[in-house]
Amino acid sequence: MDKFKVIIVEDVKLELKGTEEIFRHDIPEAEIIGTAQNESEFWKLMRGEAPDLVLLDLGLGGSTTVGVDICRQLKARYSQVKVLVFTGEVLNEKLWVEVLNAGADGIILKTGNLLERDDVQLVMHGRKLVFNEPFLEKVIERFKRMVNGESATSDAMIDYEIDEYDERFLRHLALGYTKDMIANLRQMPFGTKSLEKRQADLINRLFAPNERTGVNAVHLAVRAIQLHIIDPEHLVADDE
Amino acid sequence: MRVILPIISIALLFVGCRSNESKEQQSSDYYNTLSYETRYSNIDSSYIFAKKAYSYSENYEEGRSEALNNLAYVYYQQMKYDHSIRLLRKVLKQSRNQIELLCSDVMMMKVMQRIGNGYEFFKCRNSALNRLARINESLNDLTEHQLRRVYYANTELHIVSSTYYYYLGQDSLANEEINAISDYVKLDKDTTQYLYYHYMLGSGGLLKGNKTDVKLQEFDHLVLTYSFSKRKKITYFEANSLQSFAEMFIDSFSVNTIKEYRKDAYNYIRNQVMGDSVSSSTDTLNAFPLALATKSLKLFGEYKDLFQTACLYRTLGDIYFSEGSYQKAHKNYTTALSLVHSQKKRSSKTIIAWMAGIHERLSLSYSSIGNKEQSDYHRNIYLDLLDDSRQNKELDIRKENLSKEVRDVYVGIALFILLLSVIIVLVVLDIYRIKSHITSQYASLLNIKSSESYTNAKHQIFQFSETQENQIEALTDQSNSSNLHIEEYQNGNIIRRAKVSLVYAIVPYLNRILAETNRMKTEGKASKERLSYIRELIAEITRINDVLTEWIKMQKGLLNLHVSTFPLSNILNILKLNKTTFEKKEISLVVPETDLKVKADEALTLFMLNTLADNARKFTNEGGKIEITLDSTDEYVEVGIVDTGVGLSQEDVDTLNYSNVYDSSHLGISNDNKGFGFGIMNCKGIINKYKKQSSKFAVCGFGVESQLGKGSRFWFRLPRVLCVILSFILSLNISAECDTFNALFDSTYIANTEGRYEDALQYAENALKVAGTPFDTIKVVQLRNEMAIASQALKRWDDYRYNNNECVRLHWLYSQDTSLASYCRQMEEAKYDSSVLFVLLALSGIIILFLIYMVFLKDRIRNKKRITSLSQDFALTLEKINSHVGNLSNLPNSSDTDIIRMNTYFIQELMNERNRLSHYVKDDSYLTGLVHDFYADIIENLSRINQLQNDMSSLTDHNYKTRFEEDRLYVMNQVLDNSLSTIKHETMYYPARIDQMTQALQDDTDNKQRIDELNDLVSYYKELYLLLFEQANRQLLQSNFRSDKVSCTEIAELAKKKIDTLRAKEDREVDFTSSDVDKNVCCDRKLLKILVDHLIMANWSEMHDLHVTFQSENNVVNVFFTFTGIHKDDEELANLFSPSKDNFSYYIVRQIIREHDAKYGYPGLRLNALQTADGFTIHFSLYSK
Repeated sequence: MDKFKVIIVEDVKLELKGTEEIFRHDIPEAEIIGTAQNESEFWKLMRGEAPDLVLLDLGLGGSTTVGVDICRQLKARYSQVKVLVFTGEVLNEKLWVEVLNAGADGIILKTGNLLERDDVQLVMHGRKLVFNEPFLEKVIERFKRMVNGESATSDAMIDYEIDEYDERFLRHLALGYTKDMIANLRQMPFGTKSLEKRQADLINRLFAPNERTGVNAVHLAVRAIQLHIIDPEHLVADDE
Repeated sequence: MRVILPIISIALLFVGCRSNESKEQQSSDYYNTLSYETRYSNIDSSYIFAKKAYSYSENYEEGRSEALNNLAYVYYQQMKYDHSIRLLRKVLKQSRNQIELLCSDVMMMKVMQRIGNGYEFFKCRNSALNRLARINESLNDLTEHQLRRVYYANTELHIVSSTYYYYLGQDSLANEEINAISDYVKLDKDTTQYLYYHYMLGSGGLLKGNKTDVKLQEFDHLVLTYSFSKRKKITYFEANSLQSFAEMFIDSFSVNTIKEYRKDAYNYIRNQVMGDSVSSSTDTLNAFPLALATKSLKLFGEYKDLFQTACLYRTLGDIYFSEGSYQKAHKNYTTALSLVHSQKKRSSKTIIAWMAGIHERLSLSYSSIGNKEQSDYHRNIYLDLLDDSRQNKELDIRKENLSKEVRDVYVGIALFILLLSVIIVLVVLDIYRIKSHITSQYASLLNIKSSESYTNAKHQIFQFSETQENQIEALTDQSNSSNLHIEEYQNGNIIRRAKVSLVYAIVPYLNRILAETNRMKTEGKASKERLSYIRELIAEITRINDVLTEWIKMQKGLLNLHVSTFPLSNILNILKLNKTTFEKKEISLVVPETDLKVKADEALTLFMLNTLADNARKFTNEGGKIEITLDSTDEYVEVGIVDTGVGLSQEDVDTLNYSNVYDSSHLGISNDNKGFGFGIMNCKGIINKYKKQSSKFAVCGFGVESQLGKGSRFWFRLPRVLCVILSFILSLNISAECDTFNALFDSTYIANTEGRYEDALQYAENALKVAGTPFDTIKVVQLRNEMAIASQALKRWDDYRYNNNECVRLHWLYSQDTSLASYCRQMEEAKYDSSVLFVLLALSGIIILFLIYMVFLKDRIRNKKRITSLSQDFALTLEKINSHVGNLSNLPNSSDTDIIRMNTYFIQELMNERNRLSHYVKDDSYLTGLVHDFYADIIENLSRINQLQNDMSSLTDHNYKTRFEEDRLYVMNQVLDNSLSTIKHETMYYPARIDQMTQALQDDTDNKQRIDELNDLVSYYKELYLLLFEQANRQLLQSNFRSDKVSCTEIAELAKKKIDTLRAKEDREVDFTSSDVDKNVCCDRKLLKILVDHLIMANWSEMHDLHVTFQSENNVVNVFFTFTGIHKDDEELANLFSPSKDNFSYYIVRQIIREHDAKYGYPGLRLNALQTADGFTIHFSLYSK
């Protein structure tokens, strides 16, 4: 790794001390050309020597999310400067998304082994989306959950023998269509009568015998959502 | 009627007697007399004579009845009670002769006394007494034969009654009965009754006085009976008196007394029985009684009296038993029993007491000859028989039936009276109403406008709007108070949110330490720099912890308690819902039923109960038990949570009871018990809160009792609200005593079955000491029985007899019903009275109904046509108008057009009514004017009502919302408080420990084991900390944020208001200026107010003036609060929003801005502190989109 210049933005002195120590110890190639405790100090620094990397804390003083805004402006004004977000906002996932949208090159959560040489190296080599392990753990966990949800949907299709018409019928029921309206759909080659039969058939498939009495279209749609047969996040009507 | 009827019948009887006295009648009377006179000397002759008398009396009713009575007596003596009763019933049913009816009643009493039917006995007795009283009124008209019968019946009645009472153990009543005829009984009138009387007195138990006197008197009576009956050959009494002598002479005291004072008489009898040959000094002690009994036995055998024969065998047995000849005694008892069995075959009715006595003796004799099994068998039969003879059950049922009958009668009468009075009142009212109605209708038609209905209808409109205004006022008040609460809670809530974020402020430091220790671990050594860095971080963590402690202290006492009176069952029921959680761990949860009420904060009490129950569950192993106990005095209720868990050491108990702050991680017996004590500290805190609140809560308390391995008992006390009557408490005490008694009784029983008779007696003695008055007599009876069994087994015959007698006495005492006699009498009178009353009431009812018809219907028909149509129509119109007014409340959100439409509708309706009314009333202009007036009133009020209506419904909705929010915030704040103190107390031990370990490492940098330990401790600390933080943070996920649009002017207004109120309190020159921007910002108005208040409050004491300016930029508005006169250096300003003891307000401001940041989804709101020339500026931004 070549030598490079870095500005550290960190409002807590004790933390700054630790971060500087990590650079000194693990990343001797880095030259810390300045540290800023707040927004105005940072911009003052930027007017001086331009760094290669800005290590950015998201919360400064009273403004707990100002880092997102700084990142956005920084990327707009100095597009060549790399921004590595170094934050203690372990729980605020929404903020991660915001800061990625603002153009950050990576996010390092202030937990686990904190800032590691490898991650900084990746950023300096131009890699985007550099994340440390705790961050990735959280992302992967979410990813798994999502994938499992999707596979539950396909399992349900098999378990309950749902064909594409069943799916379409249930999806439109959930959207609030009446059977007449569903019968009018282009991809629905059935009349109202036969849809009624299909509904009765679906009730038999999706409900246990003792639960079947008094089940109406709304019940059925809700049940289909519970069983992951239809996904409420992708509830879109077909063309008429 | 009651008096007349018998008089007539008796008179008729006498007439019949005189005119038709034929030969057959004479024969009948003759044989009857013979039968009567021989009944005590030869029962067979008596039978034959009675039969003869019966055969002569086909047309002579009196004789036939008498013959039947005599036959009944014979059957009675032969123990054929069924026959006897059948005959007597026949007489009672068929005969009209009062004297023979009386005799039948008396005879029936005799039978009932024998077979122990108390109810029938008294029924006959009452009937007999009534008849006797009537007959006594006309004694002069009776023939000699009839007089003799009356004499017999009268004496027999008292003797039988006396016998009855004697066997019931009611000695004084028995004595009274027999004394009633003491002046009346004469030898020359009827020898047998005379003997019977003296035999009764002599046979014992009826006389009172000192023992010697009584013995002597009894002896005298018996001697008299004996000598007379012997001379007159009245076998029955001769045998009876001999038997009584025998029983008397078993007792050595009696023998000695009589030998001393009545030597001649004694010797006379002795000679009579044993002859002269045997000298009085040589025979054994019991030879005389034996001879007496044997003689008596022989006589009874001649007389064929089975009952007495069996009794005599028993007496013989007793005699043998008392001299120790158990085998002989046993043999006699067995004979007696066989006789009893032979009687059983003759009649379905038998004398239970008689059988019981024999079984009891057999039990005794078997015990004495060592056959324990048989002894127990007979004793059980004995007890069963005693139980059977306990008439109580039967009597209870009967009594209940009887009282029900009587009650029904009374209820019927009461209902009838009620019905009548209601009818009368109704009639009177109706007459009055019709009259006034007619007059008022005429008047109202003439002068409708001043009529009540009209003014009512008019008033209703006013009232309606008025009540609505009142309601709105009330609702507004309510809403205001709720809003005040919400403001308070919201402030509290944001403060707590700030605290939670302060809690989180140490997490980055923790992460740093952990990263450092991880590095040390991988490097295998600890560098001095790293160690000192860790110590710096720890110092910071400690500082922040201190700040948190300080902040929590600052807020202490801010949260008020919601004290109310509520039944404990409310929260106990909620706890019950948790049962499954306990069952999952296989712990049984016992929750008592109660109606106790306490004064406390219901939500917090539930929290305490839940916390303690959960704690108990945590420390109780599977299969254990957790019980909620309630102990109460007049002043407090102590709720106890008792578990069978692992328990606590004495040291821990002391810590929990006596220290206010402690390290809970030191408590408990194993590492799994971490977290113990924290909830308990909260409970203690709540109790202390109560105590601080008011002296009324002085009785509150909290405590722990525990023993290692045995379980714990946690308790808290709350002031009780007395609503239960005192007797409840009394009964509690009694039940406690009962428990002791029952326990002792059970011990006695068990000891007996296990053969520890001495112990059994000891237990029983103790139980009797405990037994006070209000005890279940049947239990004492059983106890006496157990004592009898024990002393029997120990062969302590005297003790046995005493206990057995007590047992029997109590048994009778328990089963007797002293009120039965008078009750039966009352009931009969009531029946009689009620029937008369019924007739009278029915008659008067009919009369009254007739009157009603006359007055009511006639009047009605005459007036109906004339008034109804007109008055009702008018009333209908007014009603319709009223209902329209009422309907206003159902109006939807009315626009102006709605109101116009309504008005048109009204006009139409009213005009229709006017037209209809004009058919009835000629002066049509008057009504038209009326309608117009009314219409004008409605129009005037309609729009106002509409407006009010709208206001009210929105206010009501608003109120619901605010109440809900209020409650939610209250609970949330409470829980947050608890979470925060958990964090504080659970984790405060660690920083110091980490610091210690770090220090130790500084001198020993290569100690890998120590590095590992440090690393583990820090990881654990972090995990624990995050876990607890997560708990608190979970509360914050419920958002209270309400987005409003607020103008910049309003923000400046808020600041000005705050300055003004502060200036009003404290006379200070503070200038306030503001610039303005015509922009609205998105924010929560309440939070913004809190922000402004905090900013001003934080600087109030020092500031000279405040300048508020705004600056709009893209989609945000920057707000600047510039305070002059306060100097803060750069360092201070840089750290203004970081945690420290003095920056509490700023930290809250920071939290509020952060909340806004999170809510609107565009991160990047600013909050800065900037230096100015003569002070400093707080700058914050808010979204303006």
